Amino acid sequence: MKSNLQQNIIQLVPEHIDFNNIKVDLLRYLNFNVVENEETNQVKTIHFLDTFNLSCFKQKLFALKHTSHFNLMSDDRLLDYLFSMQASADNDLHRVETEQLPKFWWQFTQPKLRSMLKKIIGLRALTDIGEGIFSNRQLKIQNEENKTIAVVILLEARSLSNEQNNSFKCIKIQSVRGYNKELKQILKLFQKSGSFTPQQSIIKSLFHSLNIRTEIFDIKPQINIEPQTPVRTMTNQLIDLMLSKIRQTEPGLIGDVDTEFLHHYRVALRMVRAVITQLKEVYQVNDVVDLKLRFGNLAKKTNHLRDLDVFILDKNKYLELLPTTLQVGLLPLFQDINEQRDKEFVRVKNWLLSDEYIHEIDNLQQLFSNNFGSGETLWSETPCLDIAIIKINKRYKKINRATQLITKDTSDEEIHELRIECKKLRYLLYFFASLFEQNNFKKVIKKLKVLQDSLGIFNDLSVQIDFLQHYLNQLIKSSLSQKNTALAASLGGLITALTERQNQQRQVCIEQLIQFGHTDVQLLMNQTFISSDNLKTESTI
Amino acid sequence: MKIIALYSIKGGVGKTAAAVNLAYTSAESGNETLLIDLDPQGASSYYFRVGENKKAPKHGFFSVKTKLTKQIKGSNYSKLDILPASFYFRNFDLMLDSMTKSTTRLNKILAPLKDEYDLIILDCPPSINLLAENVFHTSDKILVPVIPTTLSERTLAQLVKFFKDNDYELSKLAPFFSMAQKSNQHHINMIQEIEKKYPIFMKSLIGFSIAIEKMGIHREPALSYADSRSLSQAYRHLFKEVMTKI
Repeated sequence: MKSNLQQNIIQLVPEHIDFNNIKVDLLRYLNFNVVENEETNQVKTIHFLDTFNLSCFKQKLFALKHTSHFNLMSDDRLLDYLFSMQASADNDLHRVETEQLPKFWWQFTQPKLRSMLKKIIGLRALTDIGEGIFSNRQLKIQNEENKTIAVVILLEARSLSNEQNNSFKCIKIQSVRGYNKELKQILKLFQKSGSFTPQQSIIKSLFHSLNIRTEIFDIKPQINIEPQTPVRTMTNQLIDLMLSKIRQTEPGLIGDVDTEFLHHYRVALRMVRAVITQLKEVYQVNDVVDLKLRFGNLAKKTNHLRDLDVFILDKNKYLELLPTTLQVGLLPLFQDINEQRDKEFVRVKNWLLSDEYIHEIDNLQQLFSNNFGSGETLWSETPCLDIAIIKINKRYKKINRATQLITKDTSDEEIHELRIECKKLRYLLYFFASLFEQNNFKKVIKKLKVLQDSLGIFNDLSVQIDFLQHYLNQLIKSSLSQKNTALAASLGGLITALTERQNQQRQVCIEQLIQFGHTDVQLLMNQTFISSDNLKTESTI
Repeated sequence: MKIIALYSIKGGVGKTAAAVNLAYTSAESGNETLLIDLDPQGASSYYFRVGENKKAPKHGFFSVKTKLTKQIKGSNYSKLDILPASFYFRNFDLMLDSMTKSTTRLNKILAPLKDEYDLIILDCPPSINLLAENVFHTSDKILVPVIPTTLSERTLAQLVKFFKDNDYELSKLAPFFSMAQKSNQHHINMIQEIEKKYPIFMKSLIGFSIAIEKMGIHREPALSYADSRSLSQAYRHLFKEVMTKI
């Protein structure tokens, strides 16, 4: 209650302002004494940590490391921390003391922190995204009675690696109850010196000064297109964007920072291939053949590494499926997969660093940044909106027809085919997202996502069973030693458990596919992609 | 919120020194604390370097319309605020006399502060009047500093009699020895004698201290600058004892 009566005013101060001059001005113009206890002034180097896609920053959370302390705190608490340079129960969400900082949530030991980080960063690794040397000074402003009437904290931050040597300056004026008139005078003096309340968040200004990026990486294509934009212009723009995302993931992939770099590398590549396959009419036939081959070759190179990554990530899930007695038997399998993964990673890394790869990806990037495609083709000049409506409706109708025929006896192959069709529809929606009214559009995406997640689990289980079955077959072919017998037994147990789960998942998929064929989804699709009211601009069809 | 008062009919017994240092101890212990300086001399306010309230509240101090919060000032210490004295406080009795329910007015005007503070300490002027009766009504405990001398004992007797005559709760009274000197045999004898006579006496005792005498020079609570361990221990002990009784 009481703290509400006291004000804390935080303002940015232009870089050229000398804090010492402000001290002089307070005495000269306001006749206030300034008492500075230099012993309490502090200097600290603080490292900011986040994932590649700034998972913490997105949630207004900040992970920091100072000497051997790791803290996770919210944005308003971060300012408190920087001004006080002391972690407290108030500004500290979680704090651990650690010599070697863990990268992944599962490497932290504190249960609360683990579960919080699990939600925030998922499979991503925390890495150093920048650092600053922070110094603060506390000035007590006193009247002629030597009574403190306000406290001003001056905060300055400088980047260690900043060549231009920009600095960030900020003040916090803490009022003392009953001295509002004096507070206004002090604030006015600071404002006269150039201090101001920034439009954007203070932390963003701080990061800007410290050269810490605040642009969030998102693998989803976000392009703004107009309904009349020719489709080829759109596809070129989209592929160019996805290629740049591919390039952005390369360093993390090569550095083996976390498995999401490869995942996103592959998602971006898949998106490019989907554009070329689904909108092939915008390019010449021979160009489509060539591009399919070239992008296909790039994708192939990382298939095996991704399979191994996924398998390792699911290790605990596999173990939990087996009774304790059979769990030990699986350990040689994971050891083997880990070794395979290490070898495969080196192969992929060398390939990414090879002249052959660099030349190819540079070349492709150049093609699409220079408006790729020669001569007019069937759709090259057609407005985006026309094609969007034709393609989305056609794809949806195909899925809808198939869902009407779904029964409990539908074959696994048919379910897989529908999964691929749904994926194609989802990609189309991503490509043309900016053309449609967002409310309904998001509802469609949500419905599709629920279905796709389910179908994805079903497919993953099929892949895993095939993978393990293949592994078991190989094991049986080679001579079965005593150690291998235990492994074979565990593999048998695991395949049985996974097959059981797959059967259950099959039922879930069938139910959800039937639901997706219901009239409410049809209506929503019609409202979103046929009715002109829901288009940003009226269709030209 | 609890309210304690430092009160004595006699002046110069260490009321203000106790009020200031107990307020400091209370805030230091984590309590949101407000020290109200009811004495027009404004000694408590002076010790905290807070100037007097020059303007009388528009509706008068004891009016329910008065917003006391506007007159409160932050001290140089965390969690400790001061409501400074004003020279117009000398007219408290006249103000109260003209009002209905004149002995419970203070209670009413302090009520809005109950969510803000854990403890309010009233530093009272040395007289028995309507203001004092308001203090007796409002306070959970009335701390009475007593110098172990005959005169001080006499004023304590007067106060006890007043409480009895006017049906105030005697259990609210908490006298304690103040400015006591270990080397003074007369003080030692008096302490024994008075304690026998008044079992309500607190166990804590505040001894005579040069550091307290120097508060006027430092203009800070003695505990904030004094090296004397026994002094700070004595006030902390007194504070703890009071807190267990309210």
